Amino acid sequence: MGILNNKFNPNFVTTNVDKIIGLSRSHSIWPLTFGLSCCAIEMMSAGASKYDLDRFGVLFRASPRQADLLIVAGTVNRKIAPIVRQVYEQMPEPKWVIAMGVCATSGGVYDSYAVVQGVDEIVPVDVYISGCPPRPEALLDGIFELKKIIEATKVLVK
Amino acid sequence: MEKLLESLQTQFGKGITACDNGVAIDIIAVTPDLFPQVIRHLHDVEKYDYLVDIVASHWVDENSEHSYEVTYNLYCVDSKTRIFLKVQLTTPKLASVYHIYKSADFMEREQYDMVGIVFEGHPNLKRIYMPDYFEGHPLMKTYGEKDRSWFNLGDEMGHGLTFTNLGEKYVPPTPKVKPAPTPTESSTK
Repeated sequence: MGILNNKFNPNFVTTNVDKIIGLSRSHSIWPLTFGLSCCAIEMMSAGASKYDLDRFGVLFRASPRQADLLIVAGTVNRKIAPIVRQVYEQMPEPKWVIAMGVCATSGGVYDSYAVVQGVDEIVPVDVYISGCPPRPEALLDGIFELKKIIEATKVLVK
Repeated sequence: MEKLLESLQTQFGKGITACDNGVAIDIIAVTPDLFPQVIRHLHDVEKYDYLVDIVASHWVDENSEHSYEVTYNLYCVDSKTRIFLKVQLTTPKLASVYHIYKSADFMEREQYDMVGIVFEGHPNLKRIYMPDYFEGHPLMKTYGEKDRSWFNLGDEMGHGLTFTNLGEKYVPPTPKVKPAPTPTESSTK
């Protein structure tokens, strides 16, 4: 930085555009308020005061048109599957999906006539979280993994 | 309960029996032909005015013999007593109680959808949980518990979803072969 010293005003940062876009996106992940079963209780707990997702810029939005992240929290039945897909398609790009818990990941114990065996049959999944249901710490860990993915994404030059 | 059972037996005869299953609940078994009169009597005379639930079950034994059982959970709001009325069936057909208890509407549709009991006289007996393109009744023992082959039959919202993990269909058990009679000592001699 020797030749650039004192050439610019104070508070000036040089970086590349991908990095600044990744930084902005990963610090304002807005998930959709969408719970399917008991995993949703843990998701609410993660959003409440003790774990407080808000401090990471994770704010739950009530409309898919304002959301970047779909947390599939619970068992996906055949009957709800087209609705999950509809909600995913209503979200604007860029969008990500977290399969929270073992039901959304693989169907879990519900190897039955009505349950979709993993939500990745209907929407593309970025992060899988294990547990039945996962503790809020596990959801936080999944969101941090997603942050790494978002920050590593190249936007302008693929 | 004993009084009720006695009065029912004097009025309707031997078709009424008590089921003693060792649990502290009152269960009365009734034959299918007596069932409409008995439940009408319980509603009109004995004042069991609240139909809480209808539960149906299905069995199939190793000789492929089907049997059904429908249980009515009846409650009397005045005397705060509850009785269970059981009907054993060999064919999945039973008279509807819709015209006695209006709450039987959805309950009978549920049991028709899940177990396949046809409630004769129900005004609108169609599926309530499963989609219309579903074939069969999922809680029958002859329906594979992991049979997801119906997943791709319908496309309700037009997203063109295709499911790949379709489970396995029901395989009827092989009938038990009776073991050959062991030769007794007298025959071998």
